[in-house]
Amino acid sequence: MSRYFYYLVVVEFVGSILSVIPSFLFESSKKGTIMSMLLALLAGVAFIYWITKFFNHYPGRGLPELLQQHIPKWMAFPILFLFSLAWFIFGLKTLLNYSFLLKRFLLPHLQINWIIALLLLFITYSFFMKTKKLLYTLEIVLFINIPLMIYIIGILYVNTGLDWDYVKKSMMYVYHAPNLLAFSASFLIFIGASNLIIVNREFKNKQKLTTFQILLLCVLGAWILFTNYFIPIGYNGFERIQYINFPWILGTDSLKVALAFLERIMFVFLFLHISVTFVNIIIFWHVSLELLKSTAKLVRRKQKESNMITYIFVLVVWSISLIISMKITESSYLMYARSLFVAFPPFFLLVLIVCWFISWRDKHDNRSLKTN
Amino acid sequence: MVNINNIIIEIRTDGRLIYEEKEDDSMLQATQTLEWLIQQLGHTTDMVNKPLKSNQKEATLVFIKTLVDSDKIQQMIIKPFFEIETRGNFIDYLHSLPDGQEITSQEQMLSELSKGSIVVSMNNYLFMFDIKKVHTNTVPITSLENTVLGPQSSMSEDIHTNINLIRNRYHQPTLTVEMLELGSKSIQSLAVIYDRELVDQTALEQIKYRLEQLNSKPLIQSTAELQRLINGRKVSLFPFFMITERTDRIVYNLSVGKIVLSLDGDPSTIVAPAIFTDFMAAMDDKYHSKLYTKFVQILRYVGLFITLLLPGFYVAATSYNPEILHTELALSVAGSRVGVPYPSYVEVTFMLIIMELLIEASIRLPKTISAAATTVGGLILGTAITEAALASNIMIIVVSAVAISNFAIPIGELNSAIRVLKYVFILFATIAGLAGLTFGLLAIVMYLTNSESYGEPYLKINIDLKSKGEQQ
Repeated sequence: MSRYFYYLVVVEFVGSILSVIPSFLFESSKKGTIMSMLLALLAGVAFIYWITKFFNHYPGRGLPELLQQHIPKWMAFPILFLFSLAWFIFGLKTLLNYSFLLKRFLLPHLQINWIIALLLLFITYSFFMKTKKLLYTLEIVLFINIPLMIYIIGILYVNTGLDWDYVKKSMMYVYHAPNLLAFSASFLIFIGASNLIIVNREFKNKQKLTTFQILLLCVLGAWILFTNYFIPIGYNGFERIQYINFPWILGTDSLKVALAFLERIMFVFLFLHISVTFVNIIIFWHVSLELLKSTAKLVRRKQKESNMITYIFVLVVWSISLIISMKITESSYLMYARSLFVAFPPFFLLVLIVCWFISWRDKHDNRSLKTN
Repeated sequence: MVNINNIIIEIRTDGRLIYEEKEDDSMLQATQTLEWLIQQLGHTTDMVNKPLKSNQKEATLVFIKTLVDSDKIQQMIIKPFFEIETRGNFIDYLHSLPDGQEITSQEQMLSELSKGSIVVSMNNYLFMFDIKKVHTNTVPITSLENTVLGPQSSMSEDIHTNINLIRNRYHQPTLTVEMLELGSKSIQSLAVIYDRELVDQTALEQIKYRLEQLNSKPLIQSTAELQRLINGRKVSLFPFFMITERTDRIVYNLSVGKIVLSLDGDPSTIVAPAIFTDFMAAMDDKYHSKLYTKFVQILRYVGLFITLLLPGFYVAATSYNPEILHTELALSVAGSRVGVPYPSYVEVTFMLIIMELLIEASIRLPKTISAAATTVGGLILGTAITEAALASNIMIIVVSAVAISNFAIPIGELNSAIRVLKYVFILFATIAGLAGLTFGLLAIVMYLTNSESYGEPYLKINIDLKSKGEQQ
């Protein structure tokens, strides 16, 4: 696969650490989180496998083009619109969690809506970027961040503050029936590949996902899930960890590297996450915007090039984010996120079904062409 | 209007008949043309109209004295005129001269005369030779891009000398030089130089198209002005062309398929397309040992980040997030700021502006006075300002570090872009502390990756993975 594909997957892996995913995992830590994580690992890797296999069939074409070709317009329109909405919500949930985090740890004196406005100022620029350029940005950000990230996680593993007894204790809860929320939360770290529905337009060469690459993603995913769940337990203890809002930050804050430029590793960690999550939001909203543009193309006959849709999208993003930021609090956010997260796995099942339907229609069309 | 083409064609086609008298009307044309030229140039006093006469031969020379090389006229035309016996032999001799120019119209003759050509009229024949005298063809030592190893001479201000310098380093038959003319008043020659086989055709077409759009400009006097006019952006901070005075850099760029524009009268040339990493490379990166080069390159990037981020970081760390520093450092920063009446962003901006003024002064002032300016400036940026409690000690270190590391960036245009950009980072840091700094950095990365220089992405990590399907 193109190296940009891995970036899409990895940015989601890394971004998951400071999202709400660990909190949701700890909520059911005595009710089958480990089992759900194992299931989610299988489901996630299978999802990556299927969706890349589908798109590798159609190099250089995104989902909108394929829908246009194989599916009647009245069906394609709601599908594209729904997908666009879904990707918008992915971006929004990440943005909200991100600004709560910023407020708590870096900008305590700014109000949440100012923080969101500040973020949107920078994010808006990305709406006018092309997919390819966005991938270059992603590459540079990851290029700077991943080595530091690996260093920090490495330190976290070898530090004496990590109490493996807690980890062992939490592992005793393995024989429990899986929990839906924990499954959804851990499944969510594998959705990076689904950005292919737009990004595949840039992969014009024939791509191939080899067994080795699947295994690599599988090992990497397992490692990230393991780190995500067990490292905070090792640092914060097992019993009452579900009551901590940002378990990872508290975990990393117990680290001090006296010889480093910044003594408290937590801040390095925060800055890494600020940038990774930032590109994460940008990509989600870029996909959403591109889907919306294709939806508009379906309706309009004239193929006129205009930035109209982008301006509308900017307006929608600003107003919705600011309105929500004024209404929402951290606890209500967690409540909404909980119900949203449960809806995500069925949604990605729908994505796969749409893909499957397209390839079925494609084969069908080919067969009828041959018989004619 | 006299049709000059007639005469030329006759000169070229009938080699045998050339010595015989021509029909009346072409004779009339040649004389008329000469008269027209003399009339057009008659108002200037340095125009010379010199008739020559020796036993059977007669000739007239027309030229502008201040532009041509009179020794060359003497050697090339006047001396042979009296030595060669017959008229026919002298015309043959004139035909054989390598400096001969093709005549296409009266206007062309006039414009060539004004650039330093001489017109020789012999009976009914007109000849034109390029014998301009150039005073700007000395090749100085490099002054902007100094290197320790490698070639030391830069370019001259004469375009032909420059093309000669380039050709002498790049011996390829595919090297193409296209001459254009720029500026409706100054009519400056511009050479578009590229390797025909390697050049990126779309970039070449775009550059030529942009150059054609420039017809209305009366004066274009320097390559820097030219690059500003053809870069196609109303407002631009980052350079999208490389301006260089080094022949080795030019030749290296030609060999990788880039396009070089050289304007007559300017020692620096434009190289396009140019991307971000080009501006971070010095030419002696190729000459030193590999490990040393890597070390210097890393040093440059460190310098880039220091000069860009350190002032903003100071603001953020003193006023916003002191908790991120080591406790001792945070305390000593706070301690050295005791007595400073301003918030940190005022302190930083104030000190940086004094530093910028100092740099400006040392660029603009004559060399004899600039020493005084630096001494006075040194006093301000030294201990005096801390004793007066207008800035902290650490601030002085920050300003000096910023000033020095700015010059680690080897190419001047990127250098000045970064010089401006650090104030943007101070603004971000003032609004949102370290988070603002991070967002600013992300925004710059987005802006740079989104930019293009003639179809080439401006900032991109290039990884050459040989395996199939990896590169897209």
